Amino acid sequence: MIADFFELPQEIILDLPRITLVGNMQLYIENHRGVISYDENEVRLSVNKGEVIIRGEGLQIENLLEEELLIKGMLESLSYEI
Amino acid sequence: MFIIRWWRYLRGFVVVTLEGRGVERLLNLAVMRGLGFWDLRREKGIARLSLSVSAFRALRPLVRQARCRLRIRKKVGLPFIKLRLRRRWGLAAGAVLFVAVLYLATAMIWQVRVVGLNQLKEGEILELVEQLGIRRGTWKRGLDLSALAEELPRRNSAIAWAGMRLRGILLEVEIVEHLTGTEMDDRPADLVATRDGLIERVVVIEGRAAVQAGDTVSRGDLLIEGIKSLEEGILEPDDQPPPEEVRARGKVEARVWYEAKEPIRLTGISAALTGRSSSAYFLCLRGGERLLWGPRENPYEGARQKSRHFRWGWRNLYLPVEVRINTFYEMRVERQAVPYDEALRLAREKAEEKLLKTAPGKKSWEQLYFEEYKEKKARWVRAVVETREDIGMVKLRRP
Repeated sequence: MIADFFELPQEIILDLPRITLVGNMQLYIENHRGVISYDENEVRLSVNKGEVIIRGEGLQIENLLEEELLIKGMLESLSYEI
Repeated sequence: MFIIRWWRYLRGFVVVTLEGRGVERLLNLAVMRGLGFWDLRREKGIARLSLSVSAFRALRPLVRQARCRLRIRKKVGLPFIKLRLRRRWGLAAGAVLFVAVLYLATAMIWQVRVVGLNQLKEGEILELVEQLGIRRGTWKRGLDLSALAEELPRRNSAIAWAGMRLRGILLEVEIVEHLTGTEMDDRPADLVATRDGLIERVVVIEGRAAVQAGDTVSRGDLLIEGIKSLEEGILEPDDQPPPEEVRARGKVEARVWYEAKEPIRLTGISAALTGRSSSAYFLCLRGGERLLWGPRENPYEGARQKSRHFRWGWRNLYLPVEVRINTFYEMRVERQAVPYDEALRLAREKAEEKLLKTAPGKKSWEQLYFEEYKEKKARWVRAVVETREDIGMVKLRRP
C-alpha cells in the first residue's frame, strides 16, 4: 500500500527477494539470506520469511555474493515455501 | 563476462573441492564474510568451486569450523605462472632470449637480390653494393636506401637508374641499364635472293644492280652487288680505278610462288565421346605417387585423358600430401562418307592453312588459286599463292 502510494519498488519496502529468470537457463536472485542446501538437482535458498526451492539438472552456482546469487543450468521448477 | 574472467586470470585463483556435510554452512559463512567465489558445482557430494587467493586464505579457518575437507585441485592464473617460471628460470630466459634473437635477426639484411639485369652480371652489382657497406648482417636501421641507390649509377656507368627496397630481411636492388646503341654494320656485302622468283622492281640505294625487272632468279643469286657504281661514260674503261667495295643496300621486289597440296578425303574420321569414363586416384607425396584405386593404364581402346590435382593449404603453406585424379574418357572412332563438295572444301582449307605456315603473311598475297589433280588413284588439291615480297638478303663479301 505504501509502496504503491509512493511508487517505490516493493522488494525494498517489504525486504523481499527479487528473482530474474532468463529462459530456463539462468536464475538471478537478489536479497537472499544464504544457501540452505545445494546439489546438481536442487538448490534451497533462504529468503526473508521463507525459502525458495529451485529444481533442475546440472545446477551450478556461477557466482555467490552476500546479497546476490547466480544459478546456471537447466531449470525445471521454482517454488516458494513460507 | 569475458573481461571478468580475464581479470580473475590476471589476479590468479584456485580451484578447490569441498567434501562433508557442512558445505552449505561453509558457503554461507564465507558469503557473510564477503568472500566471493564462482563456478560452484556439485557432483556426487563433492563441491568444486573457484575462489581468489585471498579468499582462499580467509576460508581456511572456516573450513575447520564447518567440518569440511578442503583440497586444492588447480592453481590458475598469471601469478602462479610467474612463480613457476621463477622456479624454472632457464625456460623463462630461453623464451626471452628467443624473442630477442628473433628481433635482432629480423633487424638485419640477410640477402641481397638483384633484379632487372640485362648485360651486367649479378656479381658486379653485389660487389658494388658491398662497397657501399651493405653485406649480410648489416643493420636495417639507419640505412638511407634512396641515397645508396643513387650512388650505384655514379659508380658504374652502365647503370641508368637503381632502386633499393627492403622486403623483410631481403634487400631488393633494382637495376635499369643504359641501352647500348645498335652499331651500324658497314662491312662490304652483297644482296642475294632468299628464294626463287620473278623480279618486279629493283631499287638500289647503295651498290650496283645485278638484275632488272622481268628477270627470273633462283635462291642465292646475286641481286645487288656490293661495289660502288660509277657513272658510265666519264672515264675510259682502262682508266677506271679498282672497284670500291661497299655494303649493298636496296629493295628487290619479286613475285614468289608457294604451293601446298592436300588429299581430298572422301571418308571422314571423327572421334566421339561414348560417355563412359573411369578414374584412378593417386596419392602424391614428395614427388612419388601411389595408386589408391582405379585403373593405372587406359582401360579403353581409345580414350582421352584428363588429370586433376588437388592440394590443400592456406596462403603459401600447403599440405605435403596431394591427390591426383586421372580420368579416362572413352572415345569411339567414327567413319562416314563425305560428299565430294564438302571434301574439296575441307582439303582447300587445309591446303591454305599449310600455305600460311610456309608463305609470308597474308598481306603480301596477290593471288591464290586451287587446282585439282589425280595422283596414285587419289585426288589431290594443290593451292598456289603468288606473293610480292622483298627477297633481298645481306651476304658478306668476305665472310
